[in-house]
Amino acid sequence: MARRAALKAVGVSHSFRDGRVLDEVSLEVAQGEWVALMGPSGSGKTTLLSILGGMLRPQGGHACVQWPSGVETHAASWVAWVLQTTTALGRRSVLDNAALGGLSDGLGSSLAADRAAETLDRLGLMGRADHRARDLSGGELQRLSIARALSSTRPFLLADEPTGQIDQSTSQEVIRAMRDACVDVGVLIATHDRLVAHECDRVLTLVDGRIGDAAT
Amino acid sequence: MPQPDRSSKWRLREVVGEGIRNAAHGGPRSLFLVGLLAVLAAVAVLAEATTLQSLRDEEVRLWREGSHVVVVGSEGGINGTECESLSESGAVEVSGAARRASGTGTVENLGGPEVTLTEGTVGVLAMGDRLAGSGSARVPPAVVLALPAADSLGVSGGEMLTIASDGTPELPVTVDEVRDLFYATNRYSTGVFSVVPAAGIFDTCFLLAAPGYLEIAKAQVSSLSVLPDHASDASIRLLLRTEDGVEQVRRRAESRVTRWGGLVAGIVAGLVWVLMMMLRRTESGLYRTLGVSFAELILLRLSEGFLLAVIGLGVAATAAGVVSLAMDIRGELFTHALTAMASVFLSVFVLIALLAGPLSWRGDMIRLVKDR
Repeated sequence: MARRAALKAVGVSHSFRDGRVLDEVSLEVAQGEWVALMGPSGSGKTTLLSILGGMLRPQGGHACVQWPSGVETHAASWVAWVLQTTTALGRRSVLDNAALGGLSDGLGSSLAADRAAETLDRLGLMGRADHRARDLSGGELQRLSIARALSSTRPFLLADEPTGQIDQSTSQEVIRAMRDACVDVGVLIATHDRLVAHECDRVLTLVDGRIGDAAT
Repeated sequence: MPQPDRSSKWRLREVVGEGIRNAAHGGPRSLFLVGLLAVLAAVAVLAEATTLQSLRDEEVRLWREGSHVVVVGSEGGINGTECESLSESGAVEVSGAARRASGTGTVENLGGPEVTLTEGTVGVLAMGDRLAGSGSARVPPAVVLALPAADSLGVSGGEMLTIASDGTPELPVTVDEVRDLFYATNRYSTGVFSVVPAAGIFDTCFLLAAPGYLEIAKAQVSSLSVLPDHASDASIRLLLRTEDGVEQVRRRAESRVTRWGGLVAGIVAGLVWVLMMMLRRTESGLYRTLGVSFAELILLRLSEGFLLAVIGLGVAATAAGVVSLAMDIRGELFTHALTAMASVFLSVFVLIALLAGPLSWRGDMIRLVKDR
């Protein structure tokens, strides 16, 4: 099997004022692989995702995307996000919001809109495409956040509690839709939901700032 | 498979488009900003225009009282082309004989009726090449027009004369008419001219000079050999002193109004803009997670702010124009005020809007995104 690109954290450590959050954490998510990151609240899941996504500079170690050639690049431009909070441009349409993912990859307005429409359809939001984002419910906003990420063409996706505001049945539908849409995309999901974790290829647990047991 | 050297940055067009879409979908936020910008800009324009108007009114008053007068001009100057067209149109025609006050020249359209300059009555003194005696046809950058002693012709200060072809004075032309004529044609409104009572037969003397030529004109006046012998040095010195004084006042007043009006409006609008950007940090965080870089975020915000500022200025220009009409403010004063204010306002606003980029995404982005 040909070597694939991978999102890597190597010996990452980070502290906040109230103590150390990550302690020499290393992990790797290959392109096309689904990994769940579980752990109690405050265990550092979001911090680890932030560092992997290039949003936060670690105090120790480094994070990057390693390409098959061995070249390492900063991850920020290669990672799409599904955030824990349902952030959207409230006055803009649902389609506009979803298209931001494609625009961020330089697809151009019309191509980004086409791609966004396709993703919205897959997530059951096409009927709301013309509505303002602020009119959506919490669950719909979460799906919009996922649609925005999926409409990009990035090889990795970081999802922080993507189903936190969705009921369980919808949650499973959304995860399945994500699996359908994320072809050849490496996905790292921080979640408390065991059903979501069950959909992943690997499960990692983060306890006291360290990666604990791994399960498949 | 994406390649490591592939850029996933937003294209310039998309970044600017995103800023414009944000402005267009801003709803009450955009309306508030446009309204604020419009009010500030309109007030600044009107303050400028009314101040200029009052300066002009003061000039007329001074002129009426036979005192020294300054005319407030706008920016610009009389260049060679304009001078030539002036000459060709016959608006100002100066003959070599007239400049020595000993021949016949014609000054048309200055006082409405044609004024014929006859020996001993009116002298038109041309500066520049003509004074240097080169005989060039170039219309000079400065002109001195001297009228005969008012007392001897039975007119009071503040009035000009039309002089019939036989040399006798006809109906007086009022100062207002002369002023309107100068400004209406706008040919000399770019300069400064002054009227001083002079000794001897030359009771009244105009100095018209384009900006940049004033010093030359003054020097030429100081060394005029063509002035009548009995024009005293004192009168020339008076002219120069007055010229200096009023020009300084004019420049101080004009620059003060323009600078402060535009500056205050720009700063206030800019600070409000910065505040709104800081309140929208979550949105900036969202863009950051989408890979929008620092520079792109600034450009995005700048596009949004610039569009709103331009719309605000458009509204301000319309509102101030209507008020100016009602207040009977002269058109060119309004235009001057609008141009000066808009340039200062936009410069300041854009500078502050640039600051809003970094201010709106300080701190780590994850925290911003979560900060609702």
